[in-house]
Amino acid sequence: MAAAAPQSVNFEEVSKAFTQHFYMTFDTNREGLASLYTDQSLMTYEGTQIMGQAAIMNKYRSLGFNQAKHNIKTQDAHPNPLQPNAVIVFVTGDLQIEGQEYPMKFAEVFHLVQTGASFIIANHIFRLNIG
Amino acid sequence: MALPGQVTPDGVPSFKLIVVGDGGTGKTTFLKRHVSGEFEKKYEPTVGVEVRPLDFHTNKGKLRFYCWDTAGQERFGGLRDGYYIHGHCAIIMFDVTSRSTYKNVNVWHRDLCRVCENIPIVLCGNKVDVKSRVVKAKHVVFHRKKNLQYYEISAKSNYNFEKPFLYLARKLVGDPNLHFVEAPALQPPEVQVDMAQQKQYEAELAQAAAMPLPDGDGDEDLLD
Repeated sequence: MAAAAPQSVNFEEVSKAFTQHFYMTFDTNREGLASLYTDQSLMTYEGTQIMGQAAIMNKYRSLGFNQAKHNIKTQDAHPNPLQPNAVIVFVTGDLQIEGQEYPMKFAEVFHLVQTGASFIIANHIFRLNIG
Repeated sequence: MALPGQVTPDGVPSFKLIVVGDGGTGKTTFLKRHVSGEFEKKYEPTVGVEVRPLDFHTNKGKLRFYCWDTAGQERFGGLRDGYYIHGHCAIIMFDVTSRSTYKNVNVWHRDLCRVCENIPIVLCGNKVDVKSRVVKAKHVVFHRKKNLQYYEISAKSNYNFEKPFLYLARKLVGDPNLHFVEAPALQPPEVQVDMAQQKQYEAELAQAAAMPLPDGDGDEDLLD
């Protein structure tokens, strides 16, 4: 019988706390997201691959809206059996941006890795659920 | 009359009109001017598109443009192919008060042509009522390079509202003499266009059209 993977992090709690922090920061102070990324972070935003904190923040700044409101509908989390200090988070929900009558559905995946006392986003994939 | 494209259940020839351009250029505002379209619009959440049926009465009968307008997804990046597929005609919109929206016209044109080959396209420079325009009439040369029709419009004042639709209708029907016999009901203007000023813009456009095209494909078009 295989031994259970070591559980050094409570992935459910990490996921919940991260999700709350990420979307609140996105909606109220997008620049504040910078501290969640490192130079090795990889993001795929609507199909465009972006590497590193600086490029990722430029992408955030280039988005064609200032005000956004995320409404989370589902949130799932996994521990990573090969990497005890990592958590995978999958979020779906509605995203309402300024000046638009209707919210859009989105899906988003985060691979979080613990560095010291906090977690950073190692991988991040975002898609609008349309088309 | 026999027209290409589709036919509505009540026998009206209809065309899918794709509207693209940067966020904030006034695409939705422009389409909303047409009163009856506004009553019959339908939002399709699975594709993130609002479709407005805009009817026009021509000397050859009624025709309908199903105008596809995004729910704002262009603000995140490009649009999905599904937005373009089966488009019969298109409007590319930019804002004459924002250089970057004009610079991005070539990206929208490229994306559009990748899926829709050889459809009639109108380039629209919106917000010409605004005094502080930065993309001058003489700077607009993209349409000449790509063989598109160009119109200066002001959605909020209804200035030139029908022009893009008339151009597209003539191309789609294949009759350069097609004309509208009845004006569509439009929202009352919210601003007025200074007609003397606009005459001057049109003169600048005509003058620029007589000049040879500048070389290159990018920013240099915007230099004074």
